[in-house]
Amino acid sequence: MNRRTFWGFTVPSVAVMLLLMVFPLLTTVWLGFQKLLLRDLNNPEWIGFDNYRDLLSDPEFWAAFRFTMVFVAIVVPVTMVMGLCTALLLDRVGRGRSVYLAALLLPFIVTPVVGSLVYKDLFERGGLLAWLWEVITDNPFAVNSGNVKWLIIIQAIWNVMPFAMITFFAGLQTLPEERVEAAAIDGADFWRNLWHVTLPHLRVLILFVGLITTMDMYRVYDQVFVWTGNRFTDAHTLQVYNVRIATAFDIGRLGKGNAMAVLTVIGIFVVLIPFLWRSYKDQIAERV
Amino acid sequence: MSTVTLDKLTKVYPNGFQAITDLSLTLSEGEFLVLVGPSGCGKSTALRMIAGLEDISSGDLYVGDRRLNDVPPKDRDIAMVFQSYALYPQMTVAENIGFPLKLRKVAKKDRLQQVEQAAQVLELTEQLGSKPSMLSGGQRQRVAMGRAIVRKPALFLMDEPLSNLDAKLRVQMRADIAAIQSDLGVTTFYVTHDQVEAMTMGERVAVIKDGVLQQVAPPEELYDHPDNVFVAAFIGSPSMNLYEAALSAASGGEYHLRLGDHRLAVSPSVVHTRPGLAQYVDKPLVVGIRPEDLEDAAVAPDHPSDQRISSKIEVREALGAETLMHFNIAAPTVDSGDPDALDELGEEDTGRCTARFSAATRARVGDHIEINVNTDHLHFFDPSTHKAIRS
Repeated sequence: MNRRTFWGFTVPSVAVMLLLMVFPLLTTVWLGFQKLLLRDLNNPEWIGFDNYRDLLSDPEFWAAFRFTMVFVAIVVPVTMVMGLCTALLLDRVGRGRSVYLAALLLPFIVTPVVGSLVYKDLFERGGLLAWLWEVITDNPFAVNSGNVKWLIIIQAIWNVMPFAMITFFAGLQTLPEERVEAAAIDGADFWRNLWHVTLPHLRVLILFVGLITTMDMYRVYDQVFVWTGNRFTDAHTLQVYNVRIATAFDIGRLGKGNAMAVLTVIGIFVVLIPFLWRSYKDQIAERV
Repeated sequence: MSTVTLDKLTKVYPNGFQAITDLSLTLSEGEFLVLVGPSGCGKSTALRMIAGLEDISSGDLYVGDRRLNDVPPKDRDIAMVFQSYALYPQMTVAENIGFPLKLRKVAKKDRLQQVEQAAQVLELTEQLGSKPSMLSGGQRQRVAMGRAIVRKPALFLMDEPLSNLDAKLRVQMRADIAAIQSDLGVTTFYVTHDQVEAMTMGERVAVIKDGVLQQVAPPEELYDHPDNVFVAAFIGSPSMNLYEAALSAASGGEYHLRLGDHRLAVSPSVVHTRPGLAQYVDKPLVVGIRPEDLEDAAVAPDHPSDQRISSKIEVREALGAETLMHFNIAAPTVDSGDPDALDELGEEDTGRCTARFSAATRARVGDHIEINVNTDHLHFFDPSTHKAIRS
């Protein structure tokens, strides 16, 4: 391919990427160094690292950071284990597989806000689970700052698990049958087979699902906001906190909001380092 | 090491398809038996039933005195080599070979030693640390063999282990596998669709078609005395020429074979050594002629002139040591029932004949020549049952 053709094909997509990704990102970084208020958008004022200093000394930032970390640390592994188990079970279903598949995918297909609202309804006054709670414990169920974190976590697992399941299920379909049979003859029972044949085969996908869900869960917003609104600040994740400070009251500190967005990008990157390092090593190993 | 007995093994799938019907075979201790048949004949199903990967619908399977019908694969003391090798990609060669030992909780020290030994037999010592993806096809095949031999099982099962190799390597591995098997003396059940592989490797060869066993015999016997038309056509390359023909008595105790427009003298001894043939005189029968029983009359002029046919050469394939000639002899051919051969035999091929001439032949495409037929080596079959006519 000559240079002209190469650029001819490449430039459009590079231009779109620059326009839609790199330019906004740079703007965000730039805005993070400004004092910019919602009611006065035309007068940004350069204040250096003041926004960052503000953020990092705010106890609510650290509360949101802590909960986000706990949230990711619980939701990601539980999602992956449950997704894998469900995929293994689904793989054994002979008849009516597509019905089960469709049913299992439902939480993933529903818009997160809608799903969250439906789920929330179960715990509201007159909701099925709230009623059940009352029947069993004789106390009315009330959402409070103690249990709301767990309700959010359970819902996130319910919401994301189908993604892990469908990915692992697809991976299982490509596992050569002869390899499983060879292991059976070599003497592997179900668990040995899982450990020595199935999991190594799914390795790349496990890495992929881990990467995507970690990223998604670190940035979770809508499911949490539906539950908390501006209350229960203990259960705010970093994104909810971010939106809150950027739009709070009538002043709306957009500069600080942008600084927070930059911190999120850095945070995600740090969290993903183990995954990125693993897949980098895999790539290198394959090239040899 | 033990005898293996298949007693009326039958496989019926839930959809009613009967893949194997009453398969009975006995492998003596240390025997190398090859099960051969065209694609889709059920040979792999038979192997998978022995391995325990498929349920046995009816019949019994014994290794030694142990009935294995309901024993799970891992407890059958059987090792299997798959067509795709089925290696574990994330493990090194050493780990692959040692895997069955590891699962059987063999101590690490013994394990390494046994892996080393197997690697030595298979000339894989240098590759022990490599992953399967770095190996050539032949090396992968040997790793799969290593995983089988390291366990010292009672029975080897091999499912077309050479079909993914190129032709040259296949010839070498054929000899290697046969040598390793006879060294270890482990009873081996080998499945292939390649009759050359079957003939060169098997102590005995079992030919199967549509799930029904056709004949079990040592290779030479299978070749010289096929039990039916299918075996006759399936074993041997190029395959036997088969035609509808008729035998009639002539003066002086001689017989004549009418083959299309041709008339061949058949000596009385041919009929006498096959007592059953007398009943077929003046009736239709199927005659089989091996390609090597045909020769260019110009090369062997001493051959009796009443044992000749004439034809025009259509295709000539010089192979060096011999020359294959294709021509038409205007006699109706007989369908042997080999599904793999059907594609080759179009309708216009009626009467087609393949001969294996010595390299001395001067005949070229388009030449009209006389062809000697060695009528002492003819094969005769019943036209309706397709069974060999002997006694």
